[in-house]
Amino acid sequence: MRPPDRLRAMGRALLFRRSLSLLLVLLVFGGIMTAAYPDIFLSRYNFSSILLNMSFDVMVVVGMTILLIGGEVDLSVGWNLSMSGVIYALLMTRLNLPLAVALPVTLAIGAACGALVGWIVAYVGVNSFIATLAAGLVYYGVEFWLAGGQSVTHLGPEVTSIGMASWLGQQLPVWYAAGVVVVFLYLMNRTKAFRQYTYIGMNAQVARYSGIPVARMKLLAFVISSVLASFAGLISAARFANAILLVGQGMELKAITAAMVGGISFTGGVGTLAGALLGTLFIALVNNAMIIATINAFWQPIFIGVVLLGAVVLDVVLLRVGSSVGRTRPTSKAAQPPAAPE
Amino acid sequence: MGAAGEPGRVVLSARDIEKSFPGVKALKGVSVDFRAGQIHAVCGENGAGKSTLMHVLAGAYPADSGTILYEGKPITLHTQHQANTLGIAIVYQERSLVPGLTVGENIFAGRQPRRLGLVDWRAVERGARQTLAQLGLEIDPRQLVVELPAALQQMVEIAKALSVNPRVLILDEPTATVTQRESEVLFGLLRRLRDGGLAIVYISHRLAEIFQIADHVTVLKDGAFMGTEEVSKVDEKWLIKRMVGRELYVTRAPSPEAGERILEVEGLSDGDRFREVGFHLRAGEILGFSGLVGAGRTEVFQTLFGLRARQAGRVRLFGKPVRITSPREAIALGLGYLPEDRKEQGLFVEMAVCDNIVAAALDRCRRFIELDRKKVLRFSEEYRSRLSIATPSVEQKVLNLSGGNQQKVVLAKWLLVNPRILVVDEPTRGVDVGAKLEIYSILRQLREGGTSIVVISSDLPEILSIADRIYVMCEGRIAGEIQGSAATEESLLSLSSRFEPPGGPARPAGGEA
Repeated sequence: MRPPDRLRAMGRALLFRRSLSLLLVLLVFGGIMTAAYPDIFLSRYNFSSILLNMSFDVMVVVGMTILLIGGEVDLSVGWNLSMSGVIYALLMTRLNLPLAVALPVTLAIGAACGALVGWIVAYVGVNSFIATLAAGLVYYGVEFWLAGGQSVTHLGPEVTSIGMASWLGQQLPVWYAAGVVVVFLYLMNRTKAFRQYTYIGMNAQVARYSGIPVARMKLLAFVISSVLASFAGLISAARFANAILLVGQGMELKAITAAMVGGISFTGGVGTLAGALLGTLFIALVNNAMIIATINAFWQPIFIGVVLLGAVVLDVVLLRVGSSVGRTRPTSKAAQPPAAPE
Repeated sequence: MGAAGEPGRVVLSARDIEKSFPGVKALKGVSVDFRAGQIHAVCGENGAGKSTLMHVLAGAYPADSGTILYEGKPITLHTQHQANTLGIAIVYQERSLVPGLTVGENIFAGRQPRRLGLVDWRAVERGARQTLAQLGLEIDPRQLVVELPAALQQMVEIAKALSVNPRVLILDEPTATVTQRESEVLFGLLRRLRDGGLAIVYISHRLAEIFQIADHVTVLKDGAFMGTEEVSKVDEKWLIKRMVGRELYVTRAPSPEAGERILEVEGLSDGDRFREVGFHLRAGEILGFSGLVGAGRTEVFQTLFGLRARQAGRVRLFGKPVRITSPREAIALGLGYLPEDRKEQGLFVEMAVCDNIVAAALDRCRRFIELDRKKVLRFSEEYRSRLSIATPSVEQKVLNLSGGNQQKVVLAKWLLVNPRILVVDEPTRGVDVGAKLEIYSILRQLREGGTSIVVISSDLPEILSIADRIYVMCEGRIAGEIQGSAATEESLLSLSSRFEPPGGPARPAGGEA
């Protein structure tokens, strides 16, 4: 490869691989922030607070990304998260159950909810947009009913023990999120089972004809997403000592936004979990920067909305360019005889 | 209808129509006259050029040379709308109705009567009611199309075509998706329309229908005009003789010693598209499944592969009774099914060649729970060279490949599964002749390697070239069984257009091993 070719290949990789381009944007963005606010932005306190804020989003984004790659979506995760925090808190405060019971019971309820919704989508054949919209409403109602319309506050030390401590200088939720990220990055990037989601999202019918257990995998994705949302909800209650009724409101849209900024496509089969996580980091950094720069909070959604639009417009344009480039490539290759393998 | 004209007057003529597509000459100088008050059938095998001719007459695409005369004057059609305005209406094989809208809305789709800028729904209903009444159809225009049975939907389709008052009505395989009883209703309507002076062009490859309904028949073969005759003056033999006679793709290889029966099917029904299907497959043979499109062949094998629910019947695989409910189970039991629709069922077109090749055999590329990328690439490279798939790299997206190479990718996907029985459904559809021959030689090699093969094909020379034994299906049943060496295009065609199989579902042919 001659240098100009290599440059062009790098350019193409940057343009077509969202994780790479996003990483570049993040570096530039971080550089600007460091230059502008060296004392605040790079401070240890700021670093920890970005990570803590992100940790709940990350757990939801992981579940949502698996679903989106498999061609489905879960709009119920926000209310699922809130409800799980309330259930966890009530199990311990009202029923006086020990942590060792309340924790698995809450997660089991999350799993059961995910399995039911997943079954309705994958086996009955209801569109996931509608099924999970409805499920979210149910969670919302159940939560308010259980909690009597008021957040469960002033939670005791046993309840908060799994959320309030720190380890190696970072708070526990950060470590939980890190664990989730490590496990699912491995599963999604390496394992045969999770690789099937790309096939399913690309074309579920072809996947079924190829012997891939489409319905079973879809059900599993809903269970994973629901359990992760439950976990994020109960950890949030533990960390803040309050199970706030509206804590997860809008979380599903935030997660979809982060995933799509990170290169995940709404039509399924396209994008990587790493990209979606970088998208989450990007949004977290933008929020942080706006707080540091004391820009009016209303600018935040405007900025993120514009970024999301920009990202999807770029995708559409690249898809068009990409397919025409791809189509002419074999011919141009045939025209210049000994083509070096890429 | 306003399609007046004394019977027998020529309304529409094709003169020396030629049309080529890349790689194929679809029409080689075809001339036909279509007359008012007559039903004119156009028949021929798959790929004979029937549909191309109709598309040219309906303005869907231009002819390369030749002229179209309408009412004696030469016309040049650029769009289908233009043909419509002149008085040439066409009903395609594929439905053009919107299922969720009412009959009335469908009939007036795109040209609803308006009042004060809004759609005048009363006028739509009145107009539709009128059109339907003229056709003698008792259909409520307010009913949703989706609620109607297939045959009535077909009638609505015709009513929609007739609502522009055409003088020529072209029907492309109108009975392909309706039952025999329903087609009687359709024929009644067509006779009334004919008696009203309409010129009807009727495309079909069901020979029996031609004798039921048509006044004239024109035969096409490989795009060439083979003759036009009055239906009363000819018989089935005359038609078949003109339809067939294409060359075989490859010389027949001698059939090997047939082994034991490894797949036995008895009384299989899905309660919808086929019933009481019984057949068997022997180890080491290539079994052909012939018949018209829609005869139920694909559905039978989709059911065996766990893609459709079965209603009744017994299946024995390698001597053991089985009940397969998913493709995954079928693959585990040693079956492979290469589907007929490459783009919708066979390929992940947006994915790389290598990802497609391993899609049905991910377990073979596993290292514990991980998917081993090295194995993926190694298998892909192996099958790319084995099937000589022309692609710059196995990481190339499949959609950038030619049809023949795409088909080889699907074939590679199923070879990697290592099935003991491989069913290939229309294995060479949309594939050029070179790739066709390669696919046949791959199938033969597979057979030599011990795989038993079922070939479902509508292409008669194809079946005759490669099958050791052939079942013919018609109207959801097995119409007969023929040894490959004894079969001819004539015998296959006459079995595939027979509605009632004589003497039971399967007729064993002589000399069965």
